[in-house]
Amino acid sequence: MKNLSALINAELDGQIVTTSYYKNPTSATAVGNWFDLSMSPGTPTPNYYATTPLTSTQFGQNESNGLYVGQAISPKTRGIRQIGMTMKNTGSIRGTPFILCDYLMYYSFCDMGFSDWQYMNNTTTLPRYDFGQVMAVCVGSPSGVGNPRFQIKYTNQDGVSGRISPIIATGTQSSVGTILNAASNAINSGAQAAGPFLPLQNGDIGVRSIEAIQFLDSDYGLVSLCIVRPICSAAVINNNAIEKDFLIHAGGEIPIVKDDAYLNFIFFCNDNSFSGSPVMGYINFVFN
Amino acid sequence: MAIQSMDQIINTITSGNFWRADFNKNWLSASAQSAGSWYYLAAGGGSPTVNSVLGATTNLAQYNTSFGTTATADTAALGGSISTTTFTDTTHNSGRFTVGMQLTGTGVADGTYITALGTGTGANNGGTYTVNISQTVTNQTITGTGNVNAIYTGGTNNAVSPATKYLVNGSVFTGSSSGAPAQMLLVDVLSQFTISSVTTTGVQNLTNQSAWPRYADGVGVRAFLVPSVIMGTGTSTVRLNYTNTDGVSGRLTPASPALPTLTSTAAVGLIPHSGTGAGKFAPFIPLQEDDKGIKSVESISFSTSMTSGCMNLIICKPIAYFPITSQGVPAERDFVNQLPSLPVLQDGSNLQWMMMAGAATPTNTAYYGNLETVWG
Repeated sequence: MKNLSALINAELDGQIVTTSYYKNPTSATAVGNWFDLSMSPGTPTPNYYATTPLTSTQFGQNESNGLYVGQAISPKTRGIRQIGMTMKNTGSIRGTPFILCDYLMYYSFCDMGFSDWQYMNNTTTLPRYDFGQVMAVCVGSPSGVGNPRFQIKYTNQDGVSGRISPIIATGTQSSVGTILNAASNAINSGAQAAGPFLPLQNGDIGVRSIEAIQFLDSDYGLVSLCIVRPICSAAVINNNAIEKDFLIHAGGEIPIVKDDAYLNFIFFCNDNSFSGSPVMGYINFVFN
Repeated sequence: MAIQSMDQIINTITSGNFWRADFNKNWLSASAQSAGSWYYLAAGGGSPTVNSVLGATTNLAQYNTSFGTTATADTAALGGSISTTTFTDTTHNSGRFTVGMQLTGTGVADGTYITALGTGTGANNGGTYTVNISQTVTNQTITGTGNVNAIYTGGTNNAVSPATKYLVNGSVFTGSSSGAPAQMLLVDVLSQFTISSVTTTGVQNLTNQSAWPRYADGVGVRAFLVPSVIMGTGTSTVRLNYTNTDGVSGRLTPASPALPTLTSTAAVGLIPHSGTGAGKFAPFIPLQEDDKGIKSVESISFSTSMTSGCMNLIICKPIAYFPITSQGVPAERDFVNQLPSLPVLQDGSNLQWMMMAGAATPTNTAYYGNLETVWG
């Protein structure tokens, strides 16, 4: 779909799939952190990152009960036509950005109390795309005292193994679902947080697989490393609703979503805890 | 000639080919909504009032609906009576009685209509229904007439041909603090299949098939389920067998990632394959890969008996979305300058509202707004 005419004709021709979502964070989210909505109750059903520890596990709409993107249509192309989103929060929300991601693969239950390299068992590869970005998601809350640091070894977008990320500091308040590498208050011995995705070794733009993780400062807690492909972004302002029409806002270029994509949102908590503040809406996919 | 410029829009407005429809639709009085689920507001009162054709037609038979479509039900000769505000269908004859149906018969007071189901579920002998006017009517043939009660948008029965009607703008809001946020969806309801045989499992063939009254090629046409009588226990999946827009029959609701799962004891108005949890798809039943719409539906299949109630398969064409943000804040759409531009409303359109609840919306919550149309 390379022009407005093709997109509109596809929509008028009924080549559209509509899906709705409703996610209600139950964990208290700290201001300044990015948060993984895939773990929250609602529709799609929660992702618990539950798998064999340190072993690569793929995500997919069919395998993981993801947000419904429609049936496989390859060789046709699927794109996002519109995203509608509303939020309700008893406090004020000022500029809450969201990123819709295709979750590709994860490695679960990395132990924050273990100071040696923890090596991953890569039994699978990315199901879609050649590479993605990495999030370190809290699945067992650490103390966060002293902003513990960590780094990962990975294979980059070109298939070069043994690459090592910069050292990242985690935040001090980390409920389940928090993206640990992305706390704005995390500074320790020159290491800083960076989010929502882990910074990579100089020259790298993405990750094909994760080889190992090392926690430089001992803490208790469990982390899942998740490789995602960011698809598009949106923002909700002041308890408001948004309807992002990609034909207008993106000049006719719409984000592409692959067959069997496992879609979910991450968001930046800008003001007040989002616990009990549901995010809901719909996505219209058009295919051609 | 179709409208193709701002000048033409302005000319049609100044020439009077313009209509503003103000509406309010109430969520039902029987049950609150659940956040994350979709609902069909046609089952609720307001202006326009309740769609009393919903659930009123023959089991499994296609019943096309347009603006002004009616459906009737009646008792057998001398088979009906009214005592104070209770109408008793002692011996049923035909059709199905529904909430909102106007009742007529010898001695029946003008303006009598059904306000609620009692023991009656539409066609059961001895079923009782509550009516709005206290009266005494003994052993008569009592007839009920239902109407789709859609939003009027201009022209005789919403028809303006040979001109073409366009939706130019609209707004929706709620005055209830628990009525927002919400996602509202305006649909043109083309047809319905009343399904009273909800205890039957396996394939049930649908009957009386004919072309949809609008969008006969099926492009963009979708389907959803909604009860008109509260459902019993039983968590069933559903599968449609339909013909797609290319005329290919035997198309099936996909089983992957899962067949749509229907909520047990689904309330009237709830879209039972929506909500939170696995096997939930909303607002519409998924189509097989590459399909652009539904040209006809041949059968429906439930996996488990739902023990009681009455379900309806609704066939519709989505028109426009309106996201409601906060209490008292209208969700406004400018269909001239935004995309999609100038949605077309076909002659006879039966416009109804669906909504996704963002909160536990209380009973009797009202949604207000307006739609403006032009034609030329």
